[in-house]
Amino acid sequence: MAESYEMSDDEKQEIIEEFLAESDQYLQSLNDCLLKAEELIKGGQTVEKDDINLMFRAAHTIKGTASFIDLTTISHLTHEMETVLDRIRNDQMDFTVEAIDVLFAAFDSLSALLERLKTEGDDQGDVSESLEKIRQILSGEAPAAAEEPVAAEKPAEPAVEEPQEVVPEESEASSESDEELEKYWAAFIEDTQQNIERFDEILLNMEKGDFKPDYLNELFRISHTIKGSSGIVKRRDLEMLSHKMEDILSGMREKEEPPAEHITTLLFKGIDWIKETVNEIQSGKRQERDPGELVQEFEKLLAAEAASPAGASEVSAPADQGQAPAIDINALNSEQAIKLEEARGLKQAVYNLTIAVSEKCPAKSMKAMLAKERLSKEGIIIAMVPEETAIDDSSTAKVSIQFLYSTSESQEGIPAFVSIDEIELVSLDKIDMAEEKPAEPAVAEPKAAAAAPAAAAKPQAAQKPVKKEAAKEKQSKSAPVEVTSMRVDVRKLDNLMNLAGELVITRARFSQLLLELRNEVSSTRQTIDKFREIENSLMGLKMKTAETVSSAEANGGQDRDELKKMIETIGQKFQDTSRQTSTKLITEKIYNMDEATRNLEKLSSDIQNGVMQTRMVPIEGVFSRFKRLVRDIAKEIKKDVKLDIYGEDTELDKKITDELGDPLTHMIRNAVDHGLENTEERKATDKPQQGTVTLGAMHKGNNICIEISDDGKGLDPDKIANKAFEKEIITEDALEQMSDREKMGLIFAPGFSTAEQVTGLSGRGVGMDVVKKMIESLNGTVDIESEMGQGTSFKLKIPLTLAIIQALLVVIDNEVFALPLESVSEIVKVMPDEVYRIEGTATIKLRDHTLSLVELEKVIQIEQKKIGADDERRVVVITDGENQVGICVDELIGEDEIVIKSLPVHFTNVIGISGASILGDGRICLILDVGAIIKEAQ
Amino acid sequence: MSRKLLLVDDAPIIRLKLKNILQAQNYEVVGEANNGVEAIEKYKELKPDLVTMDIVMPEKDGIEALGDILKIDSNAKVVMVTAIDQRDSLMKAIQLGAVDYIIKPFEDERVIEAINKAAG
Repeated sequence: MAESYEMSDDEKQEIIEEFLAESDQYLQSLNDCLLKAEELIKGGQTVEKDDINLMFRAAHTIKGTASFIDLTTISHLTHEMETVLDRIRNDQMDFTVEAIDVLFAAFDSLSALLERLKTEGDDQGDVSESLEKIRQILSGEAPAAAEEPVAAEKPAEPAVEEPQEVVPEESEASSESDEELEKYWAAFIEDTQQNIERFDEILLNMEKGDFKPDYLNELFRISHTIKGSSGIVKRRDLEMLSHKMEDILSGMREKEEPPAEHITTLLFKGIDWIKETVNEIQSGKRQERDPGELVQEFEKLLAAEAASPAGASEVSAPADQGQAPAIDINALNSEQAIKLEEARGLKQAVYNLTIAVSEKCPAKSMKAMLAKERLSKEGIIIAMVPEETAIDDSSTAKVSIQFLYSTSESQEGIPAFVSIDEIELVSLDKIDMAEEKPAEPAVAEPKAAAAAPAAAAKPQAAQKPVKKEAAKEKQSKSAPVEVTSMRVDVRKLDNLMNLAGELVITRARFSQLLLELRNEVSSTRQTIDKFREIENSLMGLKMKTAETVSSAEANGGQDRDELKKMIETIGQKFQDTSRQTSTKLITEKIYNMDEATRNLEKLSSDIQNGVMQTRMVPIEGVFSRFKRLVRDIAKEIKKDVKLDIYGEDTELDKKITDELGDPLTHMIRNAVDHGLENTEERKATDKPQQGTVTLGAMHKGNNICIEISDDGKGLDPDKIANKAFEKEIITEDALEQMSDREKMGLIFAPGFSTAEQVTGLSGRGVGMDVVKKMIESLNGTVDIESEMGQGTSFKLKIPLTLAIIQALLVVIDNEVFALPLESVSEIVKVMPDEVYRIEGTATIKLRDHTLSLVELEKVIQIEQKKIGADDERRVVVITDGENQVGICVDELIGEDEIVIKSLPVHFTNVIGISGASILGDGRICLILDVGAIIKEAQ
Repeated sequence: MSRKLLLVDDAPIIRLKLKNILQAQNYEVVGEANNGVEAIEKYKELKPDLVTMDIVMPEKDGIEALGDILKIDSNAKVVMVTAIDQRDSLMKAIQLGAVDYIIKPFEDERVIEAINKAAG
């Protein structure tokens, strides 16, 4: 029998996570499409069918998956969204601004539910408001908050896009669908009223004691028909009630006796309620009514009736949905084996046929049965797994069914047999019987041979494919929209990043060691040369000795022999040693190692880049939320605003995108709320009525530049200066020396806010100072450009990643320091006599302006050689975007990529140092905090 | 060439809905029947390529009508249109030889798919 396959908690969690990730993408496209549609509708244009379909599919897919994992609130809500979108795409409903609002409301509820699912693990949120709005719009009522002003405002503005062509077409289409809908309503009312009359009549007859068994049948049929018709006009209230009535009557008509009085009474109540409702509909009131109490009464009655069971016996079956255990042709039961033999006897081909009943199908077992019937008409079903009786109809999962099927029809003809709605042909493979045969040992005794393995092999055979099928199921689920990404815990990536950093450092260490080794070899070479010399002189000694000895031969051979031996031994040893210390081998090895190290270098930097890439996400994720934000703010403060976005594909570190959301939100709020004038003010100037806020991003070297600009009134430096003075942020003296640019910079001062009236949006206590701090914490900078009357532009410059920076390595006081390359503007040579002092500060002249030199010992605890020593010095000019200072360095090492290691907690307050890194030689190098140094210098 | 359809249902609204859906798909609705008896008469008369058949109807229900039609033409393509709670009848219809079924209330898509597939 079929294996039951239950989801473990882990699996469920995994599916939920996958679902969340998937839903995120769908939400994104929903949001985008809704915004796009809103713009088009407001502009009097038609929304593209593709977009509507996309939205529909998004809602549909979320619904499907949600119901698969029992997220009933989500599936219910998305189902309703889907209904609205479905009507829109089938032109049964106009795509109006109201519809957009309803969908947005539903979208918000859905986001909230998904958020809840993320944090709480369930979807028990309240979505009644959204559902009510959907219900209203579906029933044709105007939702409570209609958006007259915006809708009315637009057409007044003569549209540039040939309105004659577009608008009439749409209105025609909509009136047509209204007409069509009206036709349904008319048919429904007429039809139902007749049925009600007949129902009443019969009930009255029965009450009078005039009973015919056929009456119950008729009553049953009538309620059934009312139910069906109500379904067409989507009147759930009527559908629900008539369904209950039908249920009651269904049980009664088999008894063929007049119903008890309390039942008749209730049926009267029911038909009266339906009558009232239909009359209401006729008079134009299309709002659904709540039949709740009545339905409950029917349910009570049903429960009471159920005590005497007459209903059809339900097939109880194990819940084995979504996966069909594979049929093993070598593990058939006796009955199946006989059928297989029969097929073979007919010389018919045997196929492995898998079909799937779609998840939405309400009566899967019935479809399975239909498929079985249709297949068996054309051939022999040898085996079917699962049997239709084992299919659980209440399941919302896709059900795969596998057949071992034999037919005289050609393989091409088979798909037609299962050409059934909601049934999909998954696979059809011809089984090579010749190949299968040897696997079946006793052909003479097929029953026994086949039956025995059936028992043993089946559970095993069933187990594996279950998983496989489940995986397939998942795949097919995500197939419609390509989801080619997966979720990875950020900590894992962080760890990987860290390891990649270590690898880079280790690689550098290797290069260093290699260098040392080379030096070692060359000194070894010298040693060897020395050996050679000794060897040579030894040879000389040997020869000399031989001469001497031969002349003294007469003195006897023993001493001579010993001496000869000794000298030879020493010579041999020398030779051996010098051969052993031959550098040839080592040189070769070093060469190989050099090559390997170079490979390692390439690989490690590839790995580092790769890991970096995994952390890189398009900024789109952050940007897209602002479309909605701008829309909402604009609506709240009644400004007409459009948001232009560019460069949303620009990628940057996920960690940074996460941090960017808040400051950007604030800046965009400011732009819409303060930056842009209100409509009247804009009218007064020559500006287009619609204000534009631009949000853009682009790569610049290792930085991402983000621009937030508006075409509003611009910043007034004097107004800002006055405000700052009033708030005692700055003294009058200081003000006088400030440039306009510096004055504008005052908006970043703590406690500054230019809002004259605190609206609900800006002025929430979060000022630009906080924004600036947030950006600076990302090693970024903020720059303002503004022109009175023309608009304001904020430019953010943020490093792409927090993990690796390009740095200039310098030596100061025998310590290596790193300066982030983007803050280095140039390096100049300075002769001692070029340094002079202004107000005690060492200064040099850099082209036509002065540059103060920072005395680093005042910032960090190092001893810097005093300027003015005899030799020429190098000065690195650093900048924080506004100010420049110079730092004297003792030595320049060069540019390098360094991996930033954050400092331990107890060092984080050290001013002037922002982090540390490890160099190739294992030395620690501190990274100078340019911003802090410049600030300290002033 | 558009294919000929016969719609059988005792609720005019359902026939109307089916007609609207299917005419848009280039099917030709050649006839409509209110009950099983009419259905058989119309079937003989019009020789439609496909029939949609309600089950619960006065006079003669859809199951009987299906049986009769198949007796007349064993290759008749009949798609049942019924509510989900008519399981037993539906099962009977399938065994008798209905080519597919559509569950009421239906989505347009279901009707189109079922009829398209049945029409082959």
